[in-house]
Amino acid sequence: MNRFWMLLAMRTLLRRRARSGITLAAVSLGVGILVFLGAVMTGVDDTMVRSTVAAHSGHVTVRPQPGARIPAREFAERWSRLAPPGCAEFLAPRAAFGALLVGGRGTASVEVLGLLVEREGGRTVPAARLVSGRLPDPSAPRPEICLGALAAERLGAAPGDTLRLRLQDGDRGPVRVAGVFRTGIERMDAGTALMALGAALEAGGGALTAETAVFARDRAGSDELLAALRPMLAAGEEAVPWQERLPDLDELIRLNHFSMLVFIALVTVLLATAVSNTALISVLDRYRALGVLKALGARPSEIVRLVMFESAVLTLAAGAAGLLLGALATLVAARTGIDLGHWTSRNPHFVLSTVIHPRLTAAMTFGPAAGALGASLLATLWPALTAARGRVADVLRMAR
Amino acid sequence: MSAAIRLEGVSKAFGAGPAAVQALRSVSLSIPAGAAVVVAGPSGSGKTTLLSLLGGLDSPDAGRVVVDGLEVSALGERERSAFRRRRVGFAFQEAHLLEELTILENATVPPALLGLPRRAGDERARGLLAQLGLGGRTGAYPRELSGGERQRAAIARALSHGPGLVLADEPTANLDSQSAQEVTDLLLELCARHGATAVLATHDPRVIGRVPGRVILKDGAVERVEGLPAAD
Repeated sequence: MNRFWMLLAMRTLLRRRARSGITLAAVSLGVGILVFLGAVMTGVDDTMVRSTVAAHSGHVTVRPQPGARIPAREFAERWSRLAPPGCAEFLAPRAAFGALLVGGRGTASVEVLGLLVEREGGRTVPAARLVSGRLPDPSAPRPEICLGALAAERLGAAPGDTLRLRLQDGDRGPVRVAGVFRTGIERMDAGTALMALGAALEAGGGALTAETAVFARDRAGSDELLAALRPMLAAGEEAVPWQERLPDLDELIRLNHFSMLVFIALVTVLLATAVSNTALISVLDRYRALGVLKALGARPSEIVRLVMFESAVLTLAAGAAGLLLGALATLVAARTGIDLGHWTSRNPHFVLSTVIHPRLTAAMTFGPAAGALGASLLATLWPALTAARGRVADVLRMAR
Repeated sequence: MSAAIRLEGVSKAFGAGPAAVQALRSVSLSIPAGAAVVVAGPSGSGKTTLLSLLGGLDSPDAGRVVVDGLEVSALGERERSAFRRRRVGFAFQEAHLLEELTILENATVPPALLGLPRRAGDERARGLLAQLGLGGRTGAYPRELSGGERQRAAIARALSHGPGLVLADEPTANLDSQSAQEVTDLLLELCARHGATAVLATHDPRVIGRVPGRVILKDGAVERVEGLPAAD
């Protein structure tokens, strides 16, 4: 494309302002919507991952390998002392054991989860979902627990009450109910009791299992976390990413991405049709002018390139405008957040928060614009070939 | 450099079967380099078809078209395109300037297609436009010009890359009498000055009377030739 062809293309686009403007508006709006929806999808994914890993085992779980003889107490105490790597926000060593809680109105079979209250309080589920009372006090003279709401109902227990803690190998004595939490996850609300890690290590004895939940900082990826944790692992320990621990969530996110891709493809086809239509009308409109160019010696390939260049310029301009539009909408929505509580309040993947914050990613920001450009060029090929194919011999007859 | 033209038994038909129209019937003709020739005849006599074959816009069904030693009728589409780009200047009945471009930019289309340096093309186009009385209107768009001015701009475009052959199809059809004479005279004068062979197709007596060489067509055949050497 030399200067002449570029000049002709630009002048053609500018001369047909209304048509170019309508196409530009349609494509930029489409790209803008796709960029924004892509950011919303990423925000939904972020919230789901944040909520779900907060309710389970962190972005990465460090645990003894199956068959490794690492005492739970030793494991939990070692990870309590370690500082998190740079890409991790905090380490949450936990110890768990199965127990029976006995109250005045009945019993409840629960998993007692020992955690570092000062690290997890307000940050993880269920430690962030208190509905009454407080979290267990690690320095309390008598062990304290925080009960799930359904378990509390079954036991008729409230903060301040005392229950008895029984394990298979015997009675561990009284425990005081410090608080009650409600996550909305039935399994957790009916079958989990929180305890300070130190107290849990004392009470659990041989029934203890331990693991450490590692929470990422600033959306650090699992691979980055795994790489940072590798040097910290002792012999017989392994690190497992959330995608492996929570395959249902991983699949859900993949499904989200696939649905979005299908949507992008559909919108892109619509945009390409608009561009193709504009190109075809433009070509038919200028059929004689293009024929005159061919009569003057323009090669068919030059005519094809001219029409393609016009489409490319139009789509690039529209893509840039759409990208800006989508990015601005995303920035505004990211600042205020979008509350999806109406649709997600009972969804276990939104247990920590129902508010999403749309986020731009390179793929979802530039993907729609690149897709629109590629599809538009493909869709312009036919009008361009139509323009190039016209018999130049007809030009003089048409021109009369 | 001007181009000598030779047509040998050239025939061309459009359509097929009983609906076919025989546009040219075994036309033989010889036009010396640098000559100015008018191809005259009533509508449907084959004038435009003859120009199309001379300019490499189409190929004949039979016979040979040779321009400056090059057998145009034997060329493929790509070669014909290159032939037109390098050696032929066209002026059409309605000028057919590109509406998006100024007069100067229109006049520099052939040099641009040929890949000549921009400055050289601009200088030549400016010179031609000045000679055609459009020196002060180089920045105007075609829609801002009168019919005569548009046709003169088209002549500048036809000559701006220094072609050996200029083909003009009814260049005065839409012009008033004074403009028609001016345009014809300017076209012939500039072709002579730039050493180009000029072939004008017309049935306008105002043009026919001003050109010494004449080929009169009737029903696709040469009825008579005036002011030109006879074909072999």
